[in-house]
Amino acid sequence: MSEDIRAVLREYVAGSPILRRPGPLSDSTPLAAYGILDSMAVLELVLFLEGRFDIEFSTRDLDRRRLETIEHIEGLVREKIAQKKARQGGLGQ
Amino acid sequence: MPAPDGPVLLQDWLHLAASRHPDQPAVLEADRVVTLRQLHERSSSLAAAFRYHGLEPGGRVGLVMEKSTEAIVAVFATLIAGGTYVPIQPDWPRRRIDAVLDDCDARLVVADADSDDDQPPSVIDRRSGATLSWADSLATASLTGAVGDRAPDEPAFILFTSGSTGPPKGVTISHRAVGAFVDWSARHFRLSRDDRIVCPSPLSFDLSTFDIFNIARSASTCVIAPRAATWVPHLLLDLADEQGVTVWYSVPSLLVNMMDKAGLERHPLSSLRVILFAGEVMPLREAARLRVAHPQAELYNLYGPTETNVVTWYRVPEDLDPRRSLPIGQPCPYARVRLEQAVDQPGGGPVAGLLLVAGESLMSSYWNRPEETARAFTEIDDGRGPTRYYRTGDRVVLQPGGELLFVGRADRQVKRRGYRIELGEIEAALGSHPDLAEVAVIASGEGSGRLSAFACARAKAAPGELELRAHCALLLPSYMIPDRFLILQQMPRGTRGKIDYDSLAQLDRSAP
Repeated sequence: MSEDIRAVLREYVAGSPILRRPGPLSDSTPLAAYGILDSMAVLELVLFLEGRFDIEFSTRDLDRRRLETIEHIEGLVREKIAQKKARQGGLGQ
Repeated sequence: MPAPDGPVLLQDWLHLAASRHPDQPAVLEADRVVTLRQLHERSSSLAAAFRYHGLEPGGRVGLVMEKSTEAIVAVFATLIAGGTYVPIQPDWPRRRIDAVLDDCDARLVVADADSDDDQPPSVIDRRSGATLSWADSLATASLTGAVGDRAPDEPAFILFTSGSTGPPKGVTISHRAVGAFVDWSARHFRLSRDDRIVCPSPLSFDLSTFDIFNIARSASTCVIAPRAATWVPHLLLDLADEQGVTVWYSVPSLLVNMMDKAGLERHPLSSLRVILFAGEVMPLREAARLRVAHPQAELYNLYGPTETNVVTWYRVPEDLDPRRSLPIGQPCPYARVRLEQAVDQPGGGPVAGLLLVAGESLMSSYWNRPEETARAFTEIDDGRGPTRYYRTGDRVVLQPGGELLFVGRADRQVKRRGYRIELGEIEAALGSHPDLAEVAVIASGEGSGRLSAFACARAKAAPGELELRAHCALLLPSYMIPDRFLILQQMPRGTRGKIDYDSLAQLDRSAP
């Protein structure tokens, strides 16, 4: 699962028309600090992730430090998926 | 609320408001409410802690903080202790933060927690390296010794803004100067205890004096926007509805983004009675959209560089004429304006020139920069004796009715999402890369919002774009990092050997 999320993120970052692409990025390249992901692009990214993984971010999740690199974003997405599963599991019992 | 006559210290407004309306909500943040009494008590305790830890009257306190309840406590605490606060954005590169703290010789720093948990900030003594927790700081007994004697003409805060030759420069603002704007705003917009103000700008923006000091001046309530609202403007609309926001103040680009992305025009916002914007040009058609969508709210365009606070105002009328641009309007009562190098427009039209501003709201100086300060001002006998006028560097047109129109800059300063940027600072940062021989940066596109960097390498193999971005990120905030980087064999030059920026602009347009 973890690799899948990362692959989706890499593909998004490589393909989104509103992100700047200065060349091959590593998973730990700071996207906002390097001016690759600006405030407008963050909104697009957030909406994309919510739709793609059927999750919903809270205000607290959307901290710039949690969206700084592909690794960080993956961690955040994984956390939201786990929370969703726990809630669904709870409902099913 | 009537205010005392004459110049005041900003903290005196807080003392007065807290004694008159102790239970009035001062700050609303998420589900937390802090009353005027609590704000006053906490600020006084923190002031005592500052004094105990060596803050002298006039000493600087760096506030490396997002706008928050704690940041507002720290602002008033610094003032009560007789200090000068220096707001700094926590997402600036470490080197830039340290350079600013060194430049203003801040002994104490209040810094947001580094982790992404909801941890409170801490107080750091930069000389001893000692760190004090927020809880311990607030537990300091409030003593009479906490109050530092200050005069209205002494600095209340220093706002660091992009520097044209490299490092950021500190605009030093006195109690009197900011007080003139805040007091006028309270009267002009009829602010009262019924008002809930949201101003989603960082603490380091001059816009943030409006909501913070009207807590004290007008006993109005400051509503803190969630941090994520910078990216997700929908959150601001929800906030405005849930908290019954009555007064909005932001940069125009945020309002435009909210219309484009978050459905601002369709949102009722029934409690909103005043919308203010400042900090950059509001495109006329966007002002018209907003005017039509929210007829219940008065709409104002405010103007003034950081060096002067707000000095002109324009109320957007119901029937907005298509003109050259949205006027910046007429001077506030505490400001006087005149034009330098004024020329009549062809055909006997309006007068155009460089805008000069005088009056109570002007900065005292650029911190530690006497030469730049001297260059920024010019002394003119305007009939009231020799008067210090600030050269804004803004080209304006004076219309027959006395209204001012902003038409452009006389130098290389640009605005991007409301952030003021000197292209020279970006060039200095990029040019410090050891493998680059020469660099130039230009701004293009609507509102000059797109930055293109051109560079010539010292050796054949030029550094890649990612490396140049990484280098810039060590020195510059993310909003100053160019959108693209182009490597040239040599810089285009004019006949006198200077870089030909027009040719660069052509290259920029033709490059893929």
